Parts: sequence; structure tokens; C-alpha cells
Amino acid sequence: MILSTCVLVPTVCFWFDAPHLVTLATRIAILSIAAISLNLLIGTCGLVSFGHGMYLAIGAYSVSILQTTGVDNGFAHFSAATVVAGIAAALIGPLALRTSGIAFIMVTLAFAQMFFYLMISLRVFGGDDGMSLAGHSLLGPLDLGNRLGLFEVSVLLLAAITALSQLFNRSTAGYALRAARQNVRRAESLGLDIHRLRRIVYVVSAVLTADAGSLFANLNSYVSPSYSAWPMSGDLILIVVLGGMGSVFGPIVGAIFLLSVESFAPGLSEHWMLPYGIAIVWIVMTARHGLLGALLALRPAGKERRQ
Amino acid sequence: MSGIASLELRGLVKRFGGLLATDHVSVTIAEGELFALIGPNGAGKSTLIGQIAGELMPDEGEILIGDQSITGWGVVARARSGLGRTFQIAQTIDAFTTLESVVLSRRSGSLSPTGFFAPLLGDKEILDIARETLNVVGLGELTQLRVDRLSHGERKQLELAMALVRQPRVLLLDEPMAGMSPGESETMAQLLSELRGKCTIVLIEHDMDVVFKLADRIGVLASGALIAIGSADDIRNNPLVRASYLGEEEIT
Repeated sequence: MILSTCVLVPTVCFWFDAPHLVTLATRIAILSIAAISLNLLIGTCGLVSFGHGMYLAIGAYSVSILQTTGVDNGFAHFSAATVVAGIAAALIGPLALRTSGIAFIMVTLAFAQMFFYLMISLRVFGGDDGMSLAGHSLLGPLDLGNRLGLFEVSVLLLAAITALSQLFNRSTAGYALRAARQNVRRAESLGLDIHRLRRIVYVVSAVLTADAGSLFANLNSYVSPSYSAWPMSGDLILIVVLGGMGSVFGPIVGAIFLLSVESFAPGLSEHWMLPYGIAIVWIVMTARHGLLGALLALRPAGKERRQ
Repeated sequence: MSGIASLELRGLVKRFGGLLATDHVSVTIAEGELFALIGPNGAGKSTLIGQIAGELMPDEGEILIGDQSITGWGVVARARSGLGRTFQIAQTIDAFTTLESVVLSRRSGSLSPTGFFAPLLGDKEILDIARETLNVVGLGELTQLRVDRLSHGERKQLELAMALVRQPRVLLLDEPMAGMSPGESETMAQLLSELRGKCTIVLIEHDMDVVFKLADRIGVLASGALIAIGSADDIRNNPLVRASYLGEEEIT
């Protein structure tokens, strides 16, 4: 599956002489990574973070800022993204996790907006103009400025994170967090330290999103404070909700749908936003388990009939 | 952590504004004893259970499991030190199967870094223990059923299984028979009688027949105070208890 995606998608793209499709596929893979990470909070913990754009921005700026100092080692970029996002999340997490529901949404949003305005005011890093990358991350011999190379790395990372996320959902901790999402009182009376588990998941989710941000910077060759602004965080939530937050693969389906429509629809009609908006409302209202849930329901009944 | 332990309450006081909800309650419940707590509605039973479980903090007094004071501890720490409980309204996880619920309960005590990523249903030994516990409470046939499809009584049985599988040192049972059908009640009473002596139990129950039959000792709460402690016969014949709770109705 992974291998075939790695080989098939670029082949088809070059067959049709459409390299921009590779870019689209890479964008889908990268935002899928971020959305799957976010889904660890939304789907597993029942906590909607409206500030994950900040971690995407932290990952992206890690690349661009290190590039201006002459560091082009990709491993250094990803390490910096991981460490900075990890520290930020370790500080913000305990604070934000004192709340839940709407309050959690607002607190996470507030931190992301703070980071947004911080980057706008820092002229050294381009201010609100953002920064163009001086070069791309070098992973050993592999230059992430190479479209194909970036695509392969993104898909491999996506596959790894999907597998880990799947394992996590089946683990004791995954069950514990889902138990707490439904009934915190019950989970705690079993001796489950839910708050500690949530803090850990928050940090992991932030770090993985930052790594996606580093890839994102390489894809766009450009970094801007807008990555940390609320529309980006909102897009990530939309991808998760549209695709289906109940499953690991949901966000991938959501990313394919959202980004494909945003990429192709403007070419069809200049009024594409109207049917697009209606479609999103319709999906959210009718498909309780998102697009993936709706697709699975189309299959002939078989797997679900276990009882 | 395994084994059984005594539970001691020393001069517990809990006030809500001007209301004295728990009025200097002191009692020692011995290892393996089944201690029933009765009293009219509003007598402070739930407040007392809340303080033992750690959901409420007493204003005065101390709570000990064995020799250890757990007074300032939160719910999680108390659960980890061997306190198990069921709720008046069964608190279960709808989306899980009964087996998943019981296995999660069993593994929750040892959520070490390695256990963190271990698949929940990956340990055959724990699965066997969980199935056996479900068998004991009478849900042996329903291991794969989702909890939201269980009846009210079955959820209470499941809750008991979730508590028992952790081998609690002290077990709090908050009205285990409330809302059960007569058949289910009988099963539950049978279960409780089998549990006698195997763990220290605090039982809150309105079904007086069950209480008088099963309890080693009975404590009567009225207006937050323990007005009487004694055997079934002592309590039946205590004029104070009759006046405040049992009334003059004939008790057999």
C-alpha cells in the first residue's frame, strides 16, 4: 500500500505531465500527518485544539531560521522543530489541560494567535512578509528541494505515523483516554491518571505537527506567520472532522477531499465556494463518522456484523 | 497492594455552608468485614462515600486504609492504593465491550511506560482473568457485547466485575441493587454473600432484607451523624433507629 503510493502517484503524475499533482499529493500527505496528530487530541481525548497551526509554524520556522544561519542539515531542522515544539507544548499543555470543551479551544487558540503576532512583529524573521527559504533541508544525500524526494519522505512519515497512531489506539493508554472522553469519573476511579496521559499526548501531538511543519516549509519554500493563524488551525480541524475523527485513516480521507477540492474547484467556476460550503455542511450533518465512515458504510455489510 | 485492609474513619466532618453533612463520623471497619451503611435520604451517605473515594475532601478528620492515611489523596491515588468502587448510577463506558472494560480496569493499575503502548487485549493471562471475573458476576456469555446494549442490571454487574478484577483491598458499593429486577437483585445478593471475607466492603443499600442478611455490622446515618453501629439484631431493636429511619413498620 505504502510502496504502491510511493511509486504509483508520481508515475501517474509524470505520465500526464502534471508535476503540480505531485505537489498536491505532497501537500495532502503533509497535512494528513498534522491532522492525524491533531486527531490524537480530538478523536482519542475529545479535546479540540484550535491552536495546532502554531506547531506547524514552529516546525516551518525551525527550517527557515536555521537556513539563514547557514545550517542546511535536515536532521538539525527536524530536531530543532521537535525540541522547540516539545518544550512549548510541555509548557502550554498543563495550562490548557486545566480546561476542556470550549475553554480548551479558546486557550489553545489564544496561544497560537500570540505566536502569530509574535512572528509578525519580529522583523528579523521577515515580519508579516514571512521568509523565503534560503535552501532546503538536506537529509544526507537527499535534498528536500527535490519534489519527488520530498513526496517520498512525506508519504513514508505519514505511513509511520498512521501505523503508530493505530497501535496507540489499541493500546491500554488509548483505551484509557477514550474511556475518559466518555466518562472521566469512571476512568479516574479505576486509578487512571488521565491528566498525565493527556499531557503526554498533547506533547506528542504537537511534536508530530511541528515535523509536518518542517516538511511544509520545504514544500512551499516559504514560511509565514499565517501558518500560526486561526484559519490554518481551523483547516486542520476541518480535515479531521470531515474525514472522520473516529478512525486513524479518517484525516487522510479528509485531507484528500479538502485539498483536492481547493485545488481543482477554482478552475471550474469562480463561484466554487458556495457549493463547497454547502457540501461541507451536508457532510458534517449527515455523515456522523465523516467521509471515511460514509465510504465504509457503502461497502456490503460484512465486517460490522459481528454480534 | 494485594490482600485486604481495614478502613478507618476518624472524626470526619464535612460542611456545605451552614449544613453539617458529615458530623464527626468515626468507625473502624475490620479487614474482610462487610459493613452496611443505612439511613434515610439526605442522611449524608453519598457525602460520606464521596469523602472515602476522594471526590470530596473532609473539612476535619482522617481516613486510613490499613495503617496509611489517605486523607489528602485524590481519586486516582486512592484507586491505585487499592480502593475499588461502584456507583449508584452505573458509570460504564458505552463504546467498549464488557471484556474491554474489565481488561482496562485490570491493566489500569500498572500503566507503566511499557504498558503504555502494549495492546490492551494482547495479554492472554489478563484476558483469562477478565473472562473469569465476568463469569463470576454472571456476564460470562456477554464478553463481546458493547456496553450500551446491556440492561441496567447488567451494567451494575459489569461495574462490580470492573471493581473486582483489580482485587481491591477496600470496596465501596453504592446501592448495587438500585433499579434491578428481582432476579438480578437475587444474583447480586448471592454474589455479595460470596464476597464476604474476601475483601473489606462498605455497602450502601436500601433493600433492608439484603442488608440485614449480609452485613456483619450496620451503621445508621441520620443528619450526617452515625447514630448507631451494631449487628442486624442490635439495629433492628434500637429504638433510636426505629424512630429516625426504620419507622414502626414490622421488620422481619
